[in-house]
Amino acid sequence: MAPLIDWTTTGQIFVESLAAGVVIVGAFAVGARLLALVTARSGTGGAQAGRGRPGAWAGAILCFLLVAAAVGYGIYFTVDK
Amino acid sequence: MHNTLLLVIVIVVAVSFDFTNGFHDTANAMATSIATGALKPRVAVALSGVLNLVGAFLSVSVAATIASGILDASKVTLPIIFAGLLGAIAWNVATWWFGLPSSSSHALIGGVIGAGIVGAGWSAIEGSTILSKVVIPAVLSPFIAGIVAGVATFIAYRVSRSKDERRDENSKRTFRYGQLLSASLVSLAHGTNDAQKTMGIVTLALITDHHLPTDAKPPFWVIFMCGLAIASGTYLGGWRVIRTLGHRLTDIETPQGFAAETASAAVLLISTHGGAPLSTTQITTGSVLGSGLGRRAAGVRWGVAGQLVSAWILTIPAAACVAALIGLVTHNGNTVGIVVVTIVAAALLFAVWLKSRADPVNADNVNDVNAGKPARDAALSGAAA
Repeated sequence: MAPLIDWTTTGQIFVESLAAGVVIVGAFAVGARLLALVTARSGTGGAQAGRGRPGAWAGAILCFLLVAAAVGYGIYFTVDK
Repeated sequence: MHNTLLLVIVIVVAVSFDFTNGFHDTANAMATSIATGALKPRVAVALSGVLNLVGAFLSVSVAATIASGILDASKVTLPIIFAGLLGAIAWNVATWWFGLPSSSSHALIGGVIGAGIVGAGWSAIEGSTILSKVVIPAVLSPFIAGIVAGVATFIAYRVSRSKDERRDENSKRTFRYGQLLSASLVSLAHGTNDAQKTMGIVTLALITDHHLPTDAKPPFWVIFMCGLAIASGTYLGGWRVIRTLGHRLTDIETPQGFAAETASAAVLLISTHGGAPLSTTQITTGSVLGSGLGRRAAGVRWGVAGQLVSAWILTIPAAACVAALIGLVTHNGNTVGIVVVTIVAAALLFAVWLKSRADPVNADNVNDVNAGKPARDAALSGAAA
């Protein structure tokens, strides 16, 4: 008889989910923070409109792309092949 | 002739179950997005409905488990499936009435078990499979989802919080867009997961009645029909359950909503891949709770959480009992009995629906937590005035 709890599978699901959750949410949070850095400034500073921080823009975009890629992979992974 | 009528009734009842599954579970994907205002209630249910339909087409690996894992397939009869489905519908409607997010999957499994015991005896029940594939994952999965959501929420706040209030507001707004994505993902996962359960049952009915070979996969029309039923149920929206999950369990902000939904989607998609018929409801509830713990200021209402857990424990036995009672009437395959039970059940459902309109929870008042609470709440708090 198979063991009642398949700890290997359970552990695997836990680790994979945790990794996915942390990477996606973490990347999104970094992106949100960088974006806020740029956009919040443009609100007060007016004309500058975040132009002074190309690094923040690029970083934010990179983060969101990472999130999109992770989500895309998740869907691809689900579809029966 | 009689058998065809019976088969048609079973399919109609299965589709009805799928419909209740949809409206009961709208909350899973959309409750936190509706609560935080990331999506307008009506837009949220429409989006979720469409994605459920899409999701239904993505995979059929759970459909196989649900059909073959619970009962000895050779002993399954149409009346057993019929009684099992009705038991599940009864539990779904009852828990919706009280705004309890309980598992439609477990209701279905419980119903099939109860009907199976009456119709085919204890020996037909695959006890160890049920324990290892249903009960134990049911206990573990909300914890896994809760931990993932809690950690993700903690990180989300740790990273994005800013002393500058303006920036803080700004990143919360960004998380709102994130919620659009994460809620969509949960809807999709729900479609792949839950629509398959009814597909599995309909396929099983077709196999039992010798319209399909024993190891057949769900035919296209079954997939389409089930997808459509769950999508339209989702679009109708189980507003009572949405209110519970979005407001009563814990207070939710956009970063939490995003973290909770991402955690749910991750756990669901990763474990569905293995064909485990997990409960979307329990996973999302675990996530919402975890996200409440991850943000210290949020606070979890443990009383509500306790209510939910007791409903979960009751789900399988309660659905089993109702299904067993129905099974007593129908197990000899008497078509007249089945038609009568169907009509009575339809009348009862209609009555519940009429009654729910007296104290409605809908798209307009779902976020309005203090007014028009579900009847049980008012009764519990002694309803001043």
